[in-house]
Amino acid sequence: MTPATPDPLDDVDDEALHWAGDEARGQAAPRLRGGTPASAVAEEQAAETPAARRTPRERALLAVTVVFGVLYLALTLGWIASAQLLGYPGIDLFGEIMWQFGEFLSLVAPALWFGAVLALSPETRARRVLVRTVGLALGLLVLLPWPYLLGVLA
Amino acid sequence: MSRPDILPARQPDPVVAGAVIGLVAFVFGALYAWFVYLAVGNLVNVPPAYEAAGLGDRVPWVLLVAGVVLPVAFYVAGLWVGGRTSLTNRVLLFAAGLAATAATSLSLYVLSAYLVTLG
Repeated sequence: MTPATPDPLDDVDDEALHWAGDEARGQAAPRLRGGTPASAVAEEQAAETPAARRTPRERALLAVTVVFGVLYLALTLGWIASAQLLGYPGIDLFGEIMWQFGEFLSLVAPALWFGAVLALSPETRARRVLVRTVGLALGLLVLLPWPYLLGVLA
Repeated sequence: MSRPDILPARQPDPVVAGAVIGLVAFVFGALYAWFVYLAVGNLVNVPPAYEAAGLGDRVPWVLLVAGVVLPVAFYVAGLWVGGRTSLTNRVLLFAAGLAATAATSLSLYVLSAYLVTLG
């Protein structure tokens, strides 16, 4: 027959596995080796739930971001190829330095534009999909790597 | 005396915050100004050079004017859109606009050279 009252030694063990303030941090359960803390289980569930329940708008946003992400990657490659084709037409040192700086800026321009549009279309933004689509489409037109395109045409 | 568990968030000094925002706008403004300076130089010097070479009818006016207008437009857009966001987003916007300015200046340079070679 099992005793009705808990062993007082178990309480002492639980006390030893607690730190002051654990409850405030959501770590009320003793951190036993090999066991999964309740907070970790809750985090896993929270991480899985949004992916399974994406709304059509969220899926559209994800599709827009991925498609434009690939296109912007192509833009970056186009500007890398463009930088290989171009050379500074002058002979002064300062102009040469600024030319190199300009070439560097043109290489990072697609990534910066992409990042800026994503930063300006956060979750709280109204008409988020439209803002992101228009911003990324505009950048695609502005940042076309004409030096490479004309080099291919020529 | 007990120590509070959560300290209140420190509010930035409005004067310091304004000075930092102004400094960012000034530094990026100087960099944008370099591209405007180059474009104005082209606008002033390219037409006489084309005339001297007998190509006066092929001066790429649209590209020359676009070279001056685009850096200004990107800077003003950065100021306008960034005026309602955090300092980090302002810096990102100015940097993206500056990079776009550099990319478009290279594109305009190549396009104008390409147009001269056409028939």
